[in-house]
Amino acid sequence: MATRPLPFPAPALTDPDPVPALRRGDPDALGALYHHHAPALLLLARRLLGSAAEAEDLVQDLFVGLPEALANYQERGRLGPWLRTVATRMALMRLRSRRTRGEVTLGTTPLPAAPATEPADRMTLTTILARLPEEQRVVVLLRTIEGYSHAEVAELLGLRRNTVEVRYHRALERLRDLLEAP
Amino acid sequence: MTDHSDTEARLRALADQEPRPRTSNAVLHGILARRAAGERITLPAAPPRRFPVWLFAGAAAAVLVTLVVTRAGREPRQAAAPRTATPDTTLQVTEMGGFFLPEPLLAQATAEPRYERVPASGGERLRPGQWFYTSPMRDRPYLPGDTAYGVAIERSTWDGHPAWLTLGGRLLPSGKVVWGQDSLWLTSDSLRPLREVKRLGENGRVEKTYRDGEVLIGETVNGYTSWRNRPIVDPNRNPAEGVPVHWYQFVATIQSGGLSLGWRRSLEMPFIVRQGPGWGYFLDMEVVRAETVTVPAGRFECWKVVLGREDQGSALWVDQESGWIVARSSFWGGRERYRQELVRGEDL
Repeated sequence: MATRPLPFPAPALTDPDPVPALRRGDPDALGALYHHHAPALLLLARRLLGSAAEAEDLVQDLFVGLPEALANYQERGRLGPWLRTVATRMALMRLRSRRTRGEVTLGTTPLPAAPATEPADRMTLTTILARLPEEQRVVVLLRTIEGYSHAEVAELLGLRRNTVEVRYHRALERLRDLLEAP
Repeated sequence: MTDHSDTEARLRALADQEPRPRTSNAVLHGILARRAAGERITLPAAPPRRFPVWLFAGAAAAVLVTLVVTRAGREPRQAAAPRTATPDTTLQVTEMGGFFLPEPLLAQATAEPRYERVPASGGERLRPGQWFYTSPMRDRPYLPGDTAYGVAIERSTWDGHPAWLTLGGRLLPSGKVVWGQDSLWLTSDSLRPLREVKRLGENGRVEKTYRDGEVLIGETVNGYTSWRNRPIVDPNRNPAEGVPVHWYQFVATIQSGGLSLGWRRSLEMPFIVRQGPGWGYFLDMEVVRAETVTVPAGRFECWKVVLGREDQGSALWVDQESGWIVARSSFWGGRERYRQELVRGEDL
């Protein structure tokens, strides 16, 4: 199946309202949106899933399904946050699915945790969060980085608010120790 | 409540400083090609719906199906499968299943074999039966009346060809077995997956049908199903990934007999396990001693098979007479982390 060659460099996201073109599945609009937003989405997915390969899969699936998902999109000028919300929900679904199956998903590339001897100032957020259990990592990401409230995190994860607060508190205690380690 | 504002601020600063991954025109080509091929994916644009517990309880009571397992006279189960499927094609998937938590065992995988290399056994060595084990997550000894978790392995057919069928189930305190939604069909000789159905969350399921270099995936969540075709080998990923694999190849090897004191083999597992900077392909196993073990299913004279080290690794106890895996435990950090014991076993 032939595809048109894509322009290089990628077209800038200049359309103030790309949504109508995206809804039509316009390749140029989709491409511009991808190059503009995918880096942040990849980073978000990588942090949540703990795997670069799974993050790539997720972001690809997001853009494949995007035109149809925009059918009910109403917020003007807030496409970026909306995309992050969708990516977050997709990642949480994958994490739930992984836990339900009780399996190790082979073939993914788990992110290395920061070595115990690595100074805190050379760690990235991703590597330092990799040292947390998954349940704490997800709560910290959603609360501190993505800006969800405890109540919103609880709803996203299907937990009681108190559970979220406890996990968050424990995670931040541990992260404080890691960041202050010599 | 402790003030975490400093830590939060540092985390946000780290988030801002972290370099973003780069995008790729090749990946974008792939996205556009999938759409041009008609692939559509339903995205979770709305929060997941949450149903009251009483609705689930009522539905479960209305639709509960219990299979009473009998030893003889059972017809092979047949999967509804596309007629175009070809069994035993060179499929490249990675998948895990089975009634053990495989992760602790896989943590022992090595990149180079330590002992004589042996290939993982194929379907000719798998044995039909059903085995139920104690939950690995319990924090107290098993008590009669606890639910046990296990699998049935049966001869079956798929698309008119011989196949193995595995089903996940629970042994209830009443002695009845409830079979869940998890089903897996494997080729009869090489134990490669043909079709799989698994529960997805509380009210979803995923179905995968493997055929000629691609997998058809149907995901149903909250009543909505999305379908997509995926090539089984994704060129954007590690080309070594996606090697033909199934966990039951390991089971077939262990249960096929031939163990003795001092037996040492490096089981060549055709899948990839990430181990630090490298990849593990082999499970180095050694029969270290004969042991008598008592588990809920009874008392067995076993071979103790160790993967890794006894204090930091995994161990299996394999019944010398039947070849059943009677118990399994994994140790690391100075203590036992997982342990599963046979509650009931039956050859079919």
